[in-house]
Amino acid sequence: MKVDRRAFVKLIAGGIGGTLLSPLPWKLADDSAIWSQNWSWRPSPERGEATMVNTVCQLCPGGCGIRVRLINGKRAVRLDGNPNNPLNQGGICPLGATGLQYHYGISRIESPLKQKGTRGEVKTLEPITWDEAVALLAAKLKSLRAQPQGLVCLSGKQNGTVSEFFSRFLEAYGSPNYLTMPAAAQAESLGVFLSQGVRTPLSYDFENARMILSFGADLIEGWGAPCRMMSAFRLWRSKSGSQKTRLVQIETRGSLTASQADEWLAVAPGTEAALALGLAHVIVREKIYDRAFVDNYTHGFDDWTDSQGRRHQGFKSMLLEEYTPARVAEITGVQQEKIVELARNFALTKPALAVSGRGQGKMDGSLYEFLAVLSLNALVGSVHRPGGVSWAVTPPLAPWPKVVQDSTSRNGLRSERLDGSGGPDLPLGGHLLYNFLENVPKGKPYPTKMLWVYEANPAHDLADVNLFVKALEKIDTVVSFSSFMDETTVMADLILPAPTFLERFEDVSGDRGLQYAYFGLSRPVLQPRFECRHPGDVLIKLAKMLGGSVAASFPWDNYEEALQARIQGLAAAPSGRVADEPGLQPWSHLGERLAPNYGSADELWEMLQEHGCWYDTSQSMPSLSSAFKTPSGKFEFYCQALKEAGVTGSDSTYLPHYQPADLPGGKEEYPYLLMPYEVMIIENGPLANQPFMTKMLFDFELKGRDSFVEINPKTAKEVGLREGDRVELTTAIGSVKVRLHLTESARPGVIFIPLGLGHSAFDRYIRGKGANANEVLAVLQEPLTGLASWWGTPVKISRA
Amino acid sequence: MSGEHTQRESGALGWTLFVVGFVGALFVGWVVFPKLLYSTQQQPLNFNHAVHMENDMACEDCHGFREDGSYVGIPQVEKCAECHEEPMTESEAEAKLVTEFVEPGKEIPWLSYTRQPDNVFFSHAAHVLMAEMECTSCHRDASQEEETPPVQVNRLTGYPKGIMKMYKCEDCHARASVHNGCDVCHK
Amino acid sequence: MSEHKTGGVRYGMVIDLDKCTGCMACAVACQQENNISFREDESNKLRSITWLRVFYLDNGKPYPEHRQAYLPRPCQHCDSPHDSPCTIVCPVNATKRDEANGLVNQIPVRCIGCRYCMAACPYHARYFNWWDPKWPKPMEQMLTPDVSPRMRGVVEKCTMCVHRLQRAKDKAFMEGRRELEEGEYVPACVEACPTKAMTFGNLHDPHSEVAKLAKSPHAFRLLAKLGTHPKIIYLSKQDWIRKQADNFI
Repeated sequence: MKVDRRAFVKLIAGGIGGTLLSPLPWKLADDSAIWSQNWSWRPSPERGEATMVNTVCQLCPGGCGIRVRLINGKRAVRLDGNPNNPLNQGGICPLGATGLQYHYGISRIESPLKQKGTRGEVKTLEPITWDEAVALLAAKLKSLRAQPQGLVCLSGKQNGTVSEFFSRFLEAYGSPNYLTMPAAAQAESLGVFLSQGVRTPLSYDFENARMILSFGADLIEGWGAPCRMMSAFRLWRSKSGSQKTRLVQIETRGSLTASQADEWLAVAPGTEAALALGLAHVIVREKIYDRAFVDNYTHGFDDWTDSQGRRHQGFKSMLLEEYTPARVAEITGVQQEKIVELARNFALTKPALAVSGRGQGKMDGSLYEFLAVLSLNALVGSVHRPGGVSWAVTPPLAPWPKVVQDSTSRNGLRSERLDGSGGPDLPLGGHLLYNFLENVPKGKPYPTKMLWVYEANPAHDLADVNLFVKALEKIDTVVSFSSFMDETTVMADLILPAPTFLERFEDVSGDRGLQYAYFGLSRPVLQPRFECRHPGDVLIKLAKMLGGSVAASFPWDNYEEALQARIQGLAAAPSGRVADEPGLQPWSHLGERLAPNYGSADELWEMLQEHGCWYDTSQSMPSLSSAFKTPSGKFEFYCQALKEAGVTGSDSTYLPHYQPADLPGGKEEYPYLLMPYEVMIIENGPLANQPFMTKMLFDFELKGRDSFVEINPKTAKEVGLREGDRVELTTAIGSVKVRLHLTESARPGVIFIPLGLGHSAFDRYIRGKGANANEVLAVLQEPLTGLASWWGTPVKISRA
Repeated sequence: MSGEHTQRESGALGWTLFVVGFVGALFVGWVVFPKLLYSTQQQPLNFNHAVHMENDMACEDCHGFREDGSYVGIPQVEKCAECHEEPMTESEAEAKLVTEFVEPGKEIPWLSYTRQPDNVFFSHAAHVLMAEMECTSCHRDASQEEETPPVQVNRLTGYPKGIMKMYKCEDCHARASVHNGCDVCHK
Repeated sequence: MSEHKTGGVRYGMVIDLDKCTGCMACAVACQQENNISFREDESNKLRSITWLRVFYLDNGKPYPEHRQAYLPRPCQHCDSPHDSPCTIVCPVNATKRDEANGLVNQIPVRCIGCRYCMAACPYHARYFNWWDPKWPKPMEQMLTPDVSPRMRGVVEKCTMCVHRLQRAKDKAFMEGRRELEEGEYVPACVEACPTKAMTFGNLHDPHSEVAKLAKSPHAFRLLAKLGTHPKIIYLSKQDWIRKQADNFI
């Protein structure tokens, strides 16, 4: 039998026929379609039970209430605003919304690291165990204990109990050198001390004011507690008719705040104080100031005679003589009529408040500028009154037991501070980081042996950033308590990784400007990803290893216990509530007592973990008759406290006044002015942008690896440059390469550079993108206070 | 042997071969192919549904709804641990459950008989609570099972054999006059 | 919108540009909510996937008359008669408007990547996956199971967080309700907005906040002259912003 071709064809035909009548081809076709959609090469997120838990955001000092969406209780897939929180009212800022990228990010530090090679070299950072790391640090501290003042701690947080833990450790150890990063709140605290006798930042009752005069504060772009300010903005915009709140922005750059304000006055760079005094002049001249307040509660308004019979110039006559609208118009570039009109508006709209602190308020400010703006508030009687300014309200936390001292710590604490603060040249005190950085290389007044850095990134964030880098060369040991591989941490000798805010307990007391007491609690909602330890726990462990009085100053087993001890104070206070319902508006019952909704400290601790925050309105404003602790017992336009501190000079030294800045570099060589600006979508704090935020930058802000500066088209034309041109900006301290973005929001003659880019550390998503403005921004120190006000640096521009 | 005869013979052979091919293909298509297409996988642990039912447990005790209306599906080991903190019987499977999963708090890698792809959203609430459909209209009745059956997994798609296809969803929705828009089932 | 029966459900959004601070929390919240992928360099905006993009506007006047504003642009969920510009052109029915609620949805698994819809969309609200999404390993932990990650070669777009609608319905079913109450279903961007500049709801419900706001004399739509009937409605009291609505973006 022979199978010929025909038979074979029939076999195949039969096979095909049979196949077609079987499910095989149809099933295969269908399955292939499914296979092609199967996409097994992209992740398939694990499903499960979704829950929401409350906590508080710690990515900035704002302290917003947030909710974490968890899958199966262990995987966080979303952060959003907690509607019960009175600060953010359910909203969230871009940084908060990006929060999980920090937690799950790739720049997290996985274990303690020790630098075994040259400082700054990432490759030679070697993982060590926690026991080794703590033992190493304890041994160093023991060896330095004879000269304890050589230990310095730099904290990026202005408040909170973890920062207090660090300053407490220094006190117990014997070092007076606890420093914080620059912030406008420092000049503010000093100004309040000089005029009112109490050293505290201010609170601003933005929610109740009907007119807000902002001297360069970008109120809706990240100033203060950003989400609180944006909630307030919504409130201003929601009111109508006679209740409407009017925002007037006084700023050199046409920021978004300036654009969204009801009016924008484009003021010449650095002349805000002059404008404030010009407005004061009109208010005084037209006698539209709050006479009851000025007569009863202020000192130094009229000319006066002191106890020795010397005649002094008062605020009034100084204003009338020196700050005429004509002169102020000349200085500020604002028309005289505008000044008069605005002054009338400000004085006659009640309540009205004025606020200063450039940008997001993250840089030091000038004392006199602050005093000038504060005196405007005093003139219209907006001090300690609803809709005005008052003192920051601190939650009544129970104090920890007093620090136990030994002779070493007592001696150490008696030594001069390394930043000269409180010394003969700078009697006003404060945290003068720049003085410290200048003193370190000189070893003056004594050498700095060890620097601790907590939640701060001075190697990137400080203006004139090389000052810090140079100072490091003279410091034997640098220890970083950071969660992320930032520029400062890269330069450290010992790195002690901290858990993120989603993995640890930490409190926040509400940032700058809040008019009611606020206490937020973050708690571990996720398992720690790595071998991280809470800095508070590390300090307790170190203290125990040092023994003696240092150990006795830290009697707790862990930080959580120490924090819980302080909650006792809140529980014992007669007024205050845990925020457990939506739509709370504490500002509408300032001064009222709140019935606590908890019975005991334990219950409060539980409720804080469940809901996130506690607040109280009863302590909001002191009584005018007893508030002022100045020599005169009144609000002092003429700051006698300056005299008491040993500051000498003419009468104007003690009065708010305007002095033109002495900028570094000659006008001929550096014809333009470089000013920094901040926007919410570029993180400018101890952290760097994560991909979600960087993605949203416009291509005229960041393109490839180039960042842009804003320049007015007229200025660009002057130098023959066009949109997108690559240029080099050179100032007296350095140069950076950037590209140009031509915009009419920039004042002619001024170049605006964004803060927060140009990172050399962190991860591949941000490293090497853009220029760090701090490499070209010079620091201007106010001689009287030693505070750095760094709003502008002369610059020249050339094609790169 | 005449050529005609040969031709006829070869024709007959040809038709025989045709039938062989036809039947062979049918056999391959209907019998061999499904066997090849699906791999048979055993569950990591035997789950005796019958014995749980005997102990007066209801289906919903484990396969119920959460408060937010989402459906539990196969519960997590935490649920098992509510009763099986310690072994309750001598059963081998239970010993394994306690030592390998409950004690270390490890999830049991159950294989699903009906798991839909990522891009599919299936609302049990809509079908069970609103349309009042029986579980068994889509799922097998497992209540009397003493042994968990193996899972047939499609080698090509990676999905279990019992998965419901889109045409079935559409068909049923159409017949019940229920909305058939894409976002009813896709995410 | 006249084509569609009144009284039904037509989800839409009103965005008050006078309350927008350009902070971009909406856009970031959207990325987190919808498993939107990112790359090391996102400065090529033609390749960058942002379901909700924020645009920069200015009034074109010289300093100091210059004013800037921001315009958040999710998919406009066009309600033009019969079909939306993108849905009418899709050759494979991968994008359709759901007539039960007005949401224009996209089924990435069915998309063949022809990008006809992208050409048809006048708002540039559709995005093509030029690459497979790739998250650093630890960041895969933060992907939500509510939204399926897409792959290279398909188009994706804002779904108005339709998975939240599915979730909200499940919750309502659990409570024995068929109808949703206002505020039960809100997209991630609206929820995030710290100034509450965005309002979301049923435009066909005359009592809803969004329907009331949509009647404002300051309301406008983007490229209204094209007849696309967007269900995203903008508000601004400033003429220069309203005028830009008919510019091409």
